[in-house]
Amino acid sequence: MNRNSEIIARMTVFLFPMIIVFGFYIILNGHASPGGGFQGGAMLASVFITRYLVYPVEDFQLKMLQIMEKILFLGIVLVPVLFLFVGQPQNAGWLHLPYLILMNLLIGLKVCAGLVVIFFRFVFYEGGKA
Amino acid sequence: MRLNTRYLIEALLCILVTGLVLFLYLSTHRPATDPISSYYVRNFMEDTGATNAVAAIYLNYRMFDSMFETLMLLVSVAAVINFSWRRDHE
Repeated sequence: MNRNSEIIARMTVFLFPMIIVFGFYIILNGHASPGGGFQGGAMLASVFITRYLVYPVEDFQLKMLQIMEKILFLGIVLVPVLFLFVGQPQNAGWLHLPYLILMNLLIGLKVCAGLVVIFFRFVFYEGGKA
Repeated sequence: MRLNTRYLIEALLCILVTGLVLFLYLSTHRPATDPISSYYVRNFMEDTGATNAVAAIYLNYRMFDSMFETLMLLVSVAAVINFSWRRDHE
């Protein structure tokens, strides 16, 4: 299936690092600027969607992404349970910032994995081969 | 003629429902000086350490909301996986 355009393939080479850097910037800076885990995760998922536009082959394990998403959700539940729900730690001032960054990172990676799994299931598994 | 009366009735119904919704909204509208929102805006920095009020709310005050929102995404992924299949593998 060699119907992909040369222009899109060349431009994607330049777009890839920008999308990845901007997505991680949105995630890691979510506690100080607009954005956060959900938005940055959607941007990171768009990396995989752009890759599909250029190279529409399923050559990575979706199963690994599903397992990764479940493990990350376990982290999303466990970190606030251990930090937030044990009582509001008012005197643990310096722990707040690592907590916010860690939660944004976990949520971002989890949303990225979930959106990639949904997209590739719809693209490769839905409907028959024509 | 019949069609016109039907359209007239539908338009009257739309106007009535719009008026009802507006009346309910305006009669039960709460003033903007909600104590809890002003508390959040005043105290979020020393409570949570975040410099962004939105991040302070969705990662600290309303943690259950983001937790179950990510759970909702996980459930929808499970639903998509279960309802999609390759038709040539049947």
